[in-house]
Amino acid sequence: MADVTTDFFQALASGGPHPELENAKGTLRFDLRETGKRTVRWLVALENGTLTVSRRNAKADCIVRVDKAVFDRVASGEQNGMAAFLRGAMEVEGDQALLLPLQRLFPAPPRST
Amino acid sequence: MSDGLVQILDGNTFVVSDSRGDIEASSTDPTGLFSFDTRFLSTWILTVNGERLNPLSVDDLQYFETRFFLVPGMGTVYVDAKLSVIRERAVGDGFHEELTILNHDEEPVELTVRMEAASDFADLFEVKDALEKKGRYSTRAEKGQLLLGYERDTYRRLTTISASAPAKVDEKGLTFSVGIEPHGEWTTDLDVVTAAGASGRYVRPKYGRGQKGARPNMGRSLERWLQDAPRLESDSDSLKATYRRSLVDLAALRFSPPVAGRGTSLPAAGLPWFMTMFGRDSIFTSLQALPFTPELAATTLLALGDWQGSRVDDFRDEDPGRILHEMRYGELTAFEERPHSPYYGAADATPLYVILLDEYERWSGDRQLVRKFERKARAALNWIDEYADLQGNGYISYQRRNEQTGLENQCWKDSWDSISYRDGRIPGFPRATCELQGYAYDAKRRGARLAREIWNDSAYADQLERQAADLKRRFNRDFWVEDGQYFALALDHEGKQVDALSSNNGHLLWSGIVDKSKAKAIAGHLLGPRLFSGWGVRTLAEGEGRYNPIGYHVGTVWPFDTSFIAWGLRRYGFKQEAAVLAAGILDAAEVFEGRLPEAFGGYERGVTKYPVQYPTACSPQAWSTGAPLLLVRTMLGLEPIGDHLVVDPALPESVGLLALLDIPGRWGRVDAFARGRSQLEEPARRARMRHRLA
Repeated sequence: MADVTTDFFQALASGGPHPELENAKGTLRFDLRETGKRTVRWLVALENGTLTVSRRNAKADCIVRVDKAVFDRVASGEQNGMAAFLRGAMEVEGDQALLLPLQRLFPAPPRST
Repeated sequence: MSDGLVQILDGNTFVVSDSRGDIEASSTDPTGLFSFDTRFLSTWILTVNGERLNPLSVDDLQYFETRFFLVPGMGTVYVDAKLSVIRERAVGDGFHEELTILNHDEEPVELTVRMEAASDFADLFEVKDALEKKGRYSTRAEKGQLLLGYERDTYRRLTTISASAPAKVDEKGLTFSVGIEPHGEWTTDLDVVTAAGASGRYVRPKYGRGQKGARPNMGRSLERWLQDAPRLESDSDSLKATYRRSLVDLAALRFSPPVAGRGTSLPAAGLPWFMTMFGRDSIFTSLQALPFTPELAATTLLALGDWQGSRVDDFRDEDPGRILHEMRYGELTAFEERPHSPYYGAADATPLYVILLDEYERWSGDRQLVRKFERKARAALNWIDEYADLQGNGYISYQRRNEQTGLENQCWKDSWDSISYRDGRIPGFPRATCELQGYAYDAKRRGARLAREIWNDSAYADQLERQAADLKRRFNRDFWVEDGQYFALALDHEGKQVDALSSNNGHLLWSGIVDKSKAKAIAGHLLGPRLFSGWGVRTLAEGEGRYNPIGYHVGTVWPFDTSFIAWGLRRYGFKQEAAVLAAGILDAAEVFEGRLPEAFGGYERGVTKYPVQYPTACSPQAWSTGAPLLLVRTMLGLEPIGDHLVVDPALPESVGLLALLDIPGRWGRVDAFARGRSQLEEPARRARMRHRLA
């Protein structure tokens, strides 16, 4: 079954370097809660514009806790990441500044020209 | 802001109350405790034995603290002047209030002291536009605290009110039963703490009840800020006072954007509506303040760079490389009913970003930051050609893609009627306003310097310089209004001239896009009777169809605008003309006690004798606060050349002596001195003259 969130992280993993993120360094962990299921975790390490993506449950500089349903919408561009943060749907712990470079990789809303 | 309102602020948290210290907000006025664009307290009313209090005086101690002296009873006859009430309030993560009641009588007194409290949790946009709320309110009195809450989905906001003295807490406030001995006093601390957070998990407030010492010492921070800035010496007391006021207000407007959170700050735009990050305002203010507080520029470059556009998003008018217009944190933004998360609808912020990066390096010598930001600067320069040339004619144009809540005019004159032909007609879209082309020219020239000297890419530098030269040539042909001898305000959707005469011509001088042969005519207009009011340069010239001396962008004088025009005049060698503009704005500043509003009326100086403040103007406002700073720079003729600071002063008649000591930059710290032509004149006579004018 197609899963937009899995696709998003897999695209990050295989998408090659992101030179526009060259100034960011650190690790982010996304804890995605699924109703009635366990939490799915994605770990993203940023260094020199290279993203290393894994499913490891490790300590991170920045932890993002969010319902998977919400993140699916962010990963598909239907929901804006910053707006989700402001409405409390996405909780961020630790070094919030790390989320900034990554939010640049969230896609635009589908209808945009 | 209306008269009689008292405001204190810290970053984007601020309190606006009446002169008693009370808050009685209606749904449409900006009184209350605001934080991150949300009102956390809309009612805060003190009574003693059921009666409201009467103000004797208000002391603004600092921008973040104030003290109210009150007595019971209303009206001119005091019902009981044997009591004094003092409220001392400091803002910071909500606010802290120390309430003291003094009994001056020889008898003991028994009092019922009551503080009413409530919150409507309005988004600042709702206050501005009078909109209805969609979420649920809650009120709880527990454990000696009053908790006011608001919730809509996962969006939660909470105000917690507590007191140090024993209080009876109910859902509408706190009641104290107080007995005071003869000549005794009673006191309590009141803490109002704001919090935001997700479902059931509130973010813990940093400074809770009784943790006064844990608060950052804002007094110390202000002192350090003032000490780090250059010292200004002058025979003009008014100039000295304005300079100090500007530095203090700039400190007050410092703002650390959340998420960017590096413990650094950039200038927010202005109180009360604009205590947030604005691309254009933050950049202009950072440019004005560069010789004084260069760290603002560095933070502005970092924060705006972090948010540089990365995709095409019509709702936010975002493009790759574009610099944001405005960031908001309130409920309407959170629910995407407004596009400010952030919104990118500005056509000038992106070239201005490159200009600031270059100007910052010229002053600071911080090559490392320029290297680190190479990619962002290139993306910004690329935006100009790739995304901003909407008409394919080689000029930056704008037309919003978000037609519901986006901005129509994406230049600094952003009100609906700001761009017009001589006869008052309004052009269609897209619009290519003239100053945007000047900024694009300057950004390319400065980008070329950075490419050559720091990025080691001379091919790119050559390319940018060729493009700039071509743009300049075309601009001087296509925008020049032959029968008026000035540049058109814009080109319209058909590429025809929008031919009104406006202050934008001054920004063109600042950008350097004006052919030398045309500069004299432009300077003549800027200092001429149609544009120059005697205080400053009108946004639109007298005699144009839409000219209105109290029209927001069609006749008022904006101190920030005039300060950049003075810089532009200096750039083309018009030293005395720049000094005349500096004198006008600084004289106006004296009337406003050093704090220039964002705009004032364009009335002829000789007619009104004093500058008339625009009715709903923001004050303090960042780029008005920065205007006197930039004018000090232009009067002294400060210009970094290589590793040196060149000083080439031209003072107005009203200033005999001006010295700026310890100017920070790549040279370390240096001093600049200037003596005016009128220095031997009797100082008392000049003071009298100014008084007559005021």
